[in-house]
Amino acid sequence: MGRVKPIQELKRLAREPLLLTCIILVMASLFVFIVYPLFQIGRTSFFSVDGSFSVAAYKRILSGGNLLTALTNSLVLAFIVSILSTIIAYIFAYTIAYINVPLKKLFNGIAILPVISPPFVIALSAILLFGRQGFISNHLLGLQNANIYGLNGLILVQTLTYFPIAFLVLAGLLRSISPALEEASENLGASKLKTFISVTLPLSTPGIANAYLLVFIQSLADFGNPMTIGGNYTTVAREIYLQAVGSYDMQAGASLAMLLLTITMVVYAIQKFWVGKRSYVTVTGKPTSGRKLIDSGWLKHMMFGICFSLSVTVILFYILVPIGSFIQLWGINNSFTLDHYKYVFNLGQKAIVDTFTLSLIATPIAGLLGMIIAFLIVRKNFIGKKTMELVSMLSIAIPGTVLGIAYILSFNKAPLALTGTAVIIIAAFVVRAVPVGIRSGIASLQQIDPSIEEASTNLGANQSQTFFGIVLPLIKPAFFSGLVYSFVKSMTAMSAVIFLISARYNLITASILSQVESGRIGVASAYCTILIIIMIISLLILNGMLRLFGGEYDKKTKKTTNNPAGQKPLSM
Amino acid sequence: MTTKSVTLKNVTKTFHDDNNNLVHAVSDVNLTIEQGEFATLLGPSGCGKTTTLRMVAGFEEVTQGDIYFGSENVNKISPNKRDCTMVFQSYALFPHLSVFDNVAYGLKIKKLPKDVIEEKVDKIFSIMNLTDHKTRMPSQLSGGQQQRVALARALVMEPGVLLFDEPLSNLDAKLRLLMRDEIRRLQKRLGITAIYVTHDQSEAMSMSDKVIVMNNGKIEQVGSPQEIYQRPTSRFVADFIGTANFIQGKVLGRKENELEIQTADTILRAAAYGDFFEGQSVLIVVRPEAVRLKDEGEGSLKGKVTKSVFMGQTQEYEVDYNGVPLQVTVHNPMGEKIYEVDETVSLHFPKESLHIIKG
Repeated sequence: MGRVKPIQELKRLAREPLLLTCIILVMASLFVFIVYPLFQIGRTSFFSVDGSFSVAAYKRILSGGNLLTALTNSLVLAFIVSILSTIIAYIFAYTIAYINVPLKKLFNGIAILPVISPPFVIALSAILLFGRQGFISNHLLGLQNANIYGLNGLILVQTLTYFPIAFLVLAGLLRSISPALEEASENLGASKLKTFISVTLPLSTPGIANAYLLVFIQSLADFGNPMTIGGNYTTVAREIYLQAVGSYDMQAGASLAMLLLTITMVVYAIQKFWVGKRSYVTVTGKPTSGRKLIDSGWLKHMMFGICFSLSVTVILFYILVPIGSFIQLWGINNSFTLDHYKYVFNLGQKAIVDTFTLSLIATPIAGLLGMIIAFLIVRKNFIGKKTMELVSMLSIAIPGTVLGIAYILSFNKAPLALTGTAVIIIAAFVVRAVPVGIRSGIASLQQIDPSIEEASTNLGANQSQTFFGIVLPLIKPAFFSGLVYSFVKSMTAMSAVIFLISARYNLITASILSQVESGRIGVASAYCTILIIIMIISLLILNGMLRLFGGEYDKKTKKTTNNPAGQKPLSM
Repeated sequence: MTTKSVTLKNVTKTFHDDNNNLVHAVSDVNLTIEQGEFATLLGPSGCGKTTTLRMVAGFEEVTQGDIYFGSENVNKISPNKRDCTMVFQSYALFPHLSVFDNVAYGLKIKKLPKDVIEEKVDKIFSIMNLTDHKTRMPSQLSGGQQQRVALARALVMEPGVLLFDEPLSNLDAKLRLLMRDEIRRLQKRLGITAIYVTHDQSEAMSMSDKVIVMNNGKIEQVGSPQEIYQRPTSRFVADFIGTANFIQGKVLGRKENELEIQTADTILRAAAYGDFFEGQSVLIVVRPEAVRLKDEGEGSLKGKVTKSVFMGQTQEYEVDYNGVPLQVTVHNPMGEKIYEVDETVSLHFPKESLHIIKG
């Protein structure tokens, strides 16, 4: 109902102290843990150690050499990976939406693997398969100097890791294209191929662009794979880490981080505001029914073949790691052993406990914060709402390494001397996880008639009674998926927290990385396996809890009882 | 149950639209709704009736003016502390709570003892025939049942004022008639002050003690349903409530309590309500069912039938009278003479069903 005058608004907020406190707290934490650290990167990159303004670091990067190579390498890699991922994802999505093939559930399942998988499972498997002692490279092909390390390895690994992200976007889009459009085209005399080229493909271009850009950002920001399998092919995320932690050249690290951040922000903005507006398809959330699936011919067999073999490959890659964890020395001494696990339990216990504890603390914070921010954005009117929305939305595009270096720059001295504490790691977990929670919270709130909350207020409930008694139960599915995502993301986080670990707090992912660096692939695999097992068990427990507290109440309720969101009552 | 009167004094609501222009949603509304009265805010979309109701509920703040419940100014009382409950257009039942928990929600917030809550809820359920549905979820109920639960949830709070925001607009026509009666019966039985918002004039007419017709954020007229229909004070009200024909004229003079109006072809007499002076141009409001049609030659006023439609209960005509299309309704057309298009008829306007407003 339009905008309210600021003064009026302040008066109103003053009468709702809880809401006001909430807004101030959220604003403050967004500022301290996102805006201020990013500002610190910018400052560090423009000021040399003695405090004078200088663009020397940028000059150094752009004048060539290692750092510029890292930058161009990253862009080349992201360019190639995004193309390959998008093509594969389109094939998957098209097959599922348009062709009558078996095993669709399996193909769909492949899409969630990278969400829950630690960042370098595929990279580890690639080493086991194609490394110097690789099963395929050495044993099957007898190559002595197989080199998976480098651009080729990265393309393989990143494509397998990120194509599911593109798949999720494209699958949703293709599902929502109305079959009537294609039928209309065929009815007007177009062949199936012509229909695909002139109707389906153009309708899905915004989705393709979307998928491409999303993968592009992921690939650019990727830290784990380049560290494991990058070899001499340096990338910018890795170089930021090496500059900051290796050679302790903060200015160079910060400048690189600024460049990376700028690129990802621009790409994200293009994806969000430019491509997003070009969508022809209104995603209604309900799949349009009634498409006649393609049920015969070479196309069906070819598409099924592609999807099936890719799925098998991905699954194989995931199975390989647990197998590798039981083998003495891969490719050289292939006997069964439990040594790697013994090693992990002797030396790695602390990392496991730390990771689990910190993730467990971060999960409810991120989950609840996500819902609160979503609630504020969708339902409340206050000064700075647009800023809150923008900051929490853009934070999804901050690469982990950028956040990591920003945190060590920001929190190493009073009044915010948090380096080495659990707080800073938890903060990093939360900031990385919360945007997804916010997004699902917003989507879910927009489905709910605002007068339900008004009814609660009208019956005497205050803001927090309404939020916890009505709103939260109604957006429970979003809340729980936010919790699951936060937990999974925290358990497998590496790029940001690698900067923040200390003797006091160590993390599994960091241990895996150091094992990989020292060539102990078996131990790394054992760590990975344990991590995956912990996650599967935790997810099962979370799932059980979700069921225990009642899953989604009858979905029809929303449809029959309430106006769909956005539909205004007949009068004012 | 201590029910309260509601008073609005110079209530104004402005807000800024997307182009930052000041918009008056409600301007300078003065209104008193007595204890136990059923008052309906009636008007077209965007007339400010819902905004007015939401200000009473506290969901919108008044920009200027004061709202009183009884003698208490409630401007500064937050919506969850106001002594009024509302029945929403969408019912706004909590989909995750059972029917019982929905109705008990407000009582639980009040922290009443469990047995008191159960007693109160059971009582309202038996009044409203909902006892059988106690354990159901809202999604398992029909639209009419959901409506009753929403009403029960508001009534169980024993509020000082009961508010309705177009509660029947989502029901089908038959159910709407039933619920209309039920709401009115309950309201009378409990003697509770009610404010009801609707754009449906038949709803307003059939339920209310007092109808408040609003247009463009202002009150056009306040009165009983009869007054609003028979003695509208403006062209808008006459037009909005039912169908009205307007005949232009000038005041010739006044005889006792009657005005003589010179129209294009005759002089009509009608009772005078309000101040009129000689020579003033006025409009004569005449309802379609008040106009009598007779054969040509039986009267001096002539018209030509331009439309004649049989509707079952009625025969609807449009008659061209000095260039003005008049709507004419003849009830129980069985046995009446039916006039065809292009026939010339004579028109009669009974004195007691003419009403004069300023032109």
